[in-house]
Amino acid sequence: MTEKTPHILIIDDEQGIRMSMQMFLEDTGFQVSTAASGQAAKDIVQKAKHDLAIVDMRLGDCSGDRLIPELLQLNPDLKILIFTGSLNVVIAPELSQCGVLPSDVVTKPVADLASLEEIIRLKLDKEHDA
Amino acid sequence: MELDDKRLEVRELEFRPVKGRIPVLITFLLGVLLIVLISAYTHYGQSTRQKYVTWTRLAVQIRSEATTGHLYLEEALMGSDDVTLEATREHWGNAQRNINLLLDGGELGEDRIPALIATDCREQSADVKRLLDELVNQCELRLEIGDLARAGTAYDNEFDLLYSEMDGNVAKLVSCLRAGIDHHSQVFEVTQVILTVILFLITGACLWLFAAFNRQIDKDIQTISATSEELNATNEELNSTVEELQATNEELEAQYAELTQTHDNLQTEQRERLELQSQFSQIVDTSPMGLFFYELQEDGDLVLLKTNAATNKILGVDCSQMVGLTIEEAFPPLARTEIPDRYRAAARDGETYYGEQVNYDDKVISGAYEVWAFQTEPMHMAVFFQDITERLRATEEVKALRQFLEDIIDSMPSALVTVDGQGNITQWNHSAEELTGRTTREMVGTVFTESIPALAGESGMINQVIHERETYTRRKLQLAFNGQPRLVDLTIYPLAHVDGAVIRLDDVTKRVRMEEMMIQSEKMLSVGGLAAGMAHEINNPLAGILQNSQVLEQRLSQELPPNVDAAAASGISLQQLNDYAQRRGLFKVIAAIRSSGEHATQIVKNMLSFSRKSDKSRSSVDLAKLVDETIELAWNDYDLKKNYDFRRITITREYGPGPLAVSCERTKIQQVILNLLKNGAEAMVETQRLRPPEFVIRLDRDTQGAWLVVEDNGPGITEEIRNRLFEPFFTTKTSNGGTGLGLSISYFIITENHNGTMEVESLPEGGCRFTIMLPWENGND
Repeated sequence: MTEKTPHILIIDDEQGIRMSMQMFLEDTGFQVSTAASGQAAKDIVQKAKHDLAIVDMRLGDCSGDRLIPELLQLNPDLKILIFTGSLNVVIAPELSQCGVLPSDVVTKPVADLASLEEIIRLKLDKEHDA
Repeated sequence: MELDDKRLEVRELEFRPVKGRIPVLITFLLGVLLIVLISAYTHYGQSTRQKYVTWTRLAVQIRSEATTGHLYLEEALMGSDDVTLEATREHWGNAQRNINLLLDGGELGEDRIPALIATDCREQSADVKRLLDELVNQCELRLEIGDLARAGTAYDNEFDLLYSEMDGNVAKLVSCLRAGIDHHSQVFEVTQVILTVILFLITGACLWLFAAFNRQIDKDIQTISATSEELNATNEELNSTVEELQATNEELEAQYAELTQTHDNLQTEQRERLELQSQFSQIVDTSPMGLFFYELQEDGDLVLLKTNAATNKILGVDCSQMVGLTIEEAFPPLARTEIPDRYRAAARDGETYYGEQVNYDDKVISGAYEVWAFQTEPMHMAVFFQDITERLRATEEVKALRQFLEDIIDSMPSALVTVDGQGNITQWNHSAEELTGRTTREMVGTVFTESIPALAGESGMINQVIHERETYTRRKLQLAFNGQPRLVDLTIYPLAHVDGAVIRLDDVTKRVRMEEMMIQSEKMLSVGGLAAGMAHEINNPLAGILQNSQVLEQRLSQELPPNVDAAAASGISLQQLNDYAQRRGLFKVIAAIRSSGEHATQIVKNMLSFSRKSDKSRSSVDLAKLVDETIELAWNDYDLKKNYDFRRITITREYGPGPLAVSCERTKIQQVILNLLKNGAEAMVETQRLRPPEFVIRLDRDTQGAWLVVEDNGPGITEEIRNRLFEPFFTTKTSNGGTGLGLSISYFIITENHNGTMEVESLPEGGCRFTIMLPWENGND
């Protein structure tokens, strides 16, 4: 069985971030979808199965704290990485309940996207192994 | 005085001779007695002799009368005409009378004849009388017979025989009497001789004593003469005095006339005085002050004579019972004080005594008394006294209250100075001493504005406050005390009831600094909040910039297959595209975008440290060691671009003894120290031509915490810059400017993360001093 290309959903209201990340990750071998809002993200997750979602905590229509549990409800297998501009991120209790860990938080900006890629692969591998 | 002495001497002289007189007098009287005795004896002897002579004469006359009678008888018988019978009888009668006189005594003419006392002679006299009587009888008989009895008759013979017997007896009688005379004469003479000898001796003794007495008298007379001379001299003086006195006397007489006139007035006055005296007694009795009258007796006892009613009331005992006691008996505790002697001096010498506070306690009477003692008349004195216990208590209370108020004033944190209407200092409290370094003793009494030259400009204001009675305030006056600049709040309050003012000086230097720090801290917090909000917003676009530039770079890369494919589809080789980008410097542009993005990222990160609370990665750090390590780091970190070489800077370390361990976040404190070193090094570049750059780094400790001082000798900073130095983005660096966050981040680390303090000041000789205090307990959440 050939290895399946991981399907990643990028949820960020900043177009420059969505676009550059999508281009970088596609170049490095991922299948990438993007969503500019929480609602759009939920729609996409409902339609297609994704392996991992990179979620910005501040979105135009909702916060990451609310969005993540909803996404997980739609797709319990979905892996979550939080990508945020805030430095002092506190994992809310509802996120902890969903299994989100402090190590799942990556702060913007990252100096090198390769490091993000590495984090993504580690996350996927871990889940895969498990 | 002198005259009295002389009188005394004279009196003694008069008295002394009495002693010598008695023996003289006795001897003299004895002599006189003896003379009287001798005289009496002589008289007695002579009279005795005279008696014997008389008796002898009588006896002789008897013989002659009898012989004559005999003859006459014979003649008559013979018949002679010449002889009468009467004459014959007369002679015989005379003889008889004489013998009777001899025996019995009697009158003979005018003479008085005493009776014969000699016994032997009396017997013969008695015989004579008997014979004579016989003869007279025979005579008469013969005369009768006449012729018959004439001579030669028997009658005559018998008669003659009788007569012869009688004559013989008379002769014997005369002999006897003569023998008596001789005997008496002999005894008398012997006795007289003896008496004369005794008289002579007594006279001698008397003369000797008298001579001795005379000598004494002479001596006394000499003394008296001397005294007399003196007295004469005195007398002369007295005479002159007498003259003067006479003159005075005249005056006095004139005055006497006046006095006589005034005498009546005086009598009136005396009546009034008596009235006054009774009033005085009444005053004594009703006086609210206690009163004792004492008498000083000759044996030195000071005896209480009288008290008044107030005494009982004041002392709470019946003092009349003490009358008659000595002062020591009445008031035993006084015996241990000077008071009895003082009272005696008052009574004896009239020395007034005042006892401001006499404490007395004998269990019954107890209290403090104010006492006046004075002489009322010689050897008498009076004591006025009153109970001042209450007054003393009140005074003590006032004193305590005053002390209390002084303590309050002294314990005031403000320097409080009171001045009178002329601006003279009347009070100067502890805080004033501390603020100015001048003591109360040297300041009180001086003129305020002269003593505090820094406030000379306010003298007008002080006067205005005193006269208009309105408070005046000036805040944050910059003054210098003891060479130290101080910020002082000055308030001048007028005194309500008297001319004067209270000047209050509050050293607000620390408070102002604290306020500045608070303001700084608040700024930091608001910056922290702002930074936190901003960071998120800025990080997103930064992420966009950085990520897109990375993607751009990546998509020009030759290693990525899609790139090769896309280039081929575009009709160019990827190599050509790369050459082009290289030639046009596109890679550099991309790198510059990334670099700028990363710089911005760093700024945002730094800003976020204002909002980030401590991460609690604390450990005990030896500050000395940390400072040394950081200096090492700075050495290696020197930046040629920044125009300074850290290795050329002299570093003087003044560390206190022993390690200075403090709990802190090691890396952050290191960041702070490095920041200070870099800042100082940069600042000293400006002045390095004037003086070799030098850091002085001090470490010290006190009860509050550990102190780190970093001093540079750069140009220093102005007050304006000092106030803003810890503000974020405030910078004086013109070229290659830093972010302006270094010092503000340092400030934040010290004050917010470590609860410490951080201050900066400009040094008068140039340069800056940063002072950091890290408290021992600096836990922060």
